Amino acid sequence: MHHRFKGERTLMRIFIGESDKYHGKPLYQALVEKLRESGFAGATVLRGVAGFGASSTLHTDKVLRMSLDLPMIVEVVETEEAIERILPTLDEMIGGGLVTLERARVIMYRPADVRPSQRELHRIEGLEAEDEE
Amino acid sequence: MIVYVTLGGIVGTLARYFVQGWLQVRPGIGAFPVGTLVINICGSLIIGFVMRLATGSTLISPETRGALTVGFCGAFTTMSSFSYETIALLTDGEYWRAGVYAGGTVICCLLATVAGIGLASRML
Repeated sequence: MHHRFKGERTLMRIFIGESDKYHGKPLYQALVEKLRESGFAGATVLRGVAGFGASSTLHTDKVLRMSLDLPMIVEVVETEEAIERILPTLDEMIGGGLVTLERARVIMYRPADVRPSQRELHRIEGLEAEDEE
Repeated sequence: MIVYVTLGGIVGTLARYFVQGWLQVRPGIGAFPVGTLVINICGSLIIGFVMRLATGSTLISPETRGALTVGFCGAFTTMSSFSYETIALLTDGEYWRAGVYAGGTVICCLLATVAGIGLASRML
């Protein structure tokens, strides 16, 4: 299945604060769990070292008082349809933040434990043998 | 967040009060502000450790981080006491001791913060 994830997809980035919560749980954690529960191919959370948002309050790890709510980014690559389906849920979960969508081309999506017999199918796009239909 | 910071501050203030008080009356200490020096060094070590561990992982929540750093370390350490004690030494003509205290505080605290960061980095 994984090798069929290659091709044109949509990259969604969700910019939120480290302190943001959803029902008492860190929002970034709640988002990852919701995305996983919804069958998404994967999600990655990154912490920013500095940034500002709609409130124009600078957050930075260089000043203690301003390091308490550093930016967090949840990145997801999926089909456009799957992302469209989950947007209402995200709208309900996210209080303040920024959500962006970009086109992405997946050239490899491969589990770490791919079987040797399947390895050829999971090679980076352009390097693999023809898929068996 | 304010609740966490407040609780950390209460604990830090009380910790400083008792630790500083205990250290300063040890035999041989005299009038040199060892208590303030030690708590500032310890606080510097702790803040370096906590900040590195917190920003390098998700082990420490932002609220706990606020309680430990802004709250506890902010209350445990003291710049005002350090300033006053340095000026007091200078006023009394103890220029050498004032220099050792001021310079030693700055250098040792910076080194302690680096050590705290290094310790946390080894754990990550």
